[in-house]
Amino acid sequence: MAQTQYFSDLIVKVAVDRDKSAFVELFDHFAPRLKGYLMKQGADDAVAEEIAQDVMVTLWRKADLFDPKKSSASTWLFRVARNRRIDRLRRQKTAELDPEEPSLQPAAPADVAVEMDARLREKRVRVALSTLPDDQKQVVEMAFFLGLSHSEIADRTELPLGTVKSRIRLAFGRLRRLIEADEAVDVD
Amino acid sequence: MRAVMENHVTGMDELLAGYAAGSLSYPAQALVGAHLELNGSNRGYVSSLEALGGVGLDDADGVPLSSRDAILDAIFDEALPTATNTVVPVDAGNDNSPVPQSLRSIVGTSMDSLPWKTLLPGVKECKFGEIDGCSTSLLWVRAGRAMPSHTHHGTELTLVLQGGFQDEDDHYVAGDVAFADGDVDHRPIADAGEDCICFAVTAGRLELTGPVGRWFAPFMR
Ligand SMILES: [Zn+2]
Ligand SMILES: [Zn+2]
Repeated sequence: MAQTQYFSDLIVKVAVDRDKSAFVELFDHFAPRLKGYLMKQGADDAVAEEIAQDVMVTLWRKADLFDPKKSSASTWLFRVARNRRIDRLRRQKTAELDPEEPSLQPAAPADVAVEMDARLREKRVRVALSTLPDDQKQVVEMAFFLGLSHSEIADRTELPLGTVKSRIRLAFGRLRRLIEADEAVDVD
Repeated sequence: MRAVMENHVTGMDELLAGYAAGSLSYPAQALVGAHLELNGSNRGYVSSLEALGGVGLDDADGVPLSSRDAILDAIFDEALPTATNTVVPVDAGNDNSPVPQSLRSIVGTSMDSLPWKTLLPGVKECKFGEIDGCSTSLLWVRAGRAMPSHTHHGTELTLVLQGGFQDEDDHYVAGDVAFADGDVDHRPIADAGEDCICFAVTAGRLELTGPVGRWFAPFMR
């Protein structure tokens, strides 16, 4: 958890001082993880490296958009990578680039009520995931981290498609209740 | 790398998870983004799911970059093309039907200037074609009017942008997402008092059932 603060501080140094050594440290930590994450989701080596590069370029140029109160470095980079991947697929399909593509738009202004310390949020979501029954945890990992479709999950688990669908639905609903129950406890 | 929406959407919490993971079809991703802009109730859950993505990134096994040094040099020399576009300021202008930021890459910035087609008296549609295998459109239903009755092959997601409507299950207002699939014989009715504008994404074919359906079908495909 101290690590979260450490990486946030590095991004702030990049934003404020254009600090190259801070950036190199961030690059060496996150770029290989981004590449590995994307490859796990099925990207080939070249594509994964290209998107990881895109994300790091964004970090260098847009570090001032990072708000350490709202997210950790890894969550912010996850979002940038997700949006870059979507833009890339979109560009491949349409061939024309929309100048107003809202790729870097903050998804939406967070409600004051739902704003939560970034570290606390990560800790809670980790706990919530570990609390799921194993069969639900497994489908969450396949659907969320690997980005597999229901039928791909059915193939891998050798479960009927209907079972996979209902298990996924249950799992994400339960994950939500676990996260929100935790938040409610805090309010009291 | 990404799942077709039809395989992926079975309920709101899962839809939000698909959004956070980035695995929805493009128009469904845009629809959920617009939902989050208009309605705050799911933002906390989505932020938590994005934090889950961050955890996944933290835990990922690193794969070394084959051209680390060259990339770093290029970044510091500002030699790489801008991968991202600058943030566009929100400009609703004097359009009285502002388009949520997340829908602008599909819809554009003004609804008034779109090529609307009248389907029935009081019902207009603007189609954006098939995107990622999902037919994507805006619907404009005059206050108090009913949509033609229809069923679905696959999942239909409808985001209310303005006004509201009632279907068999529920009442929906701006920012709400309605799900319909398979067996639902759907005949939504717009609320009285204000025209209802919806952004609709459908994976699979729509089949029309009502008496108007036969006439209506060539437009819907
Ligand atoms: Zn799914
Ligand atoms: Zn319908």
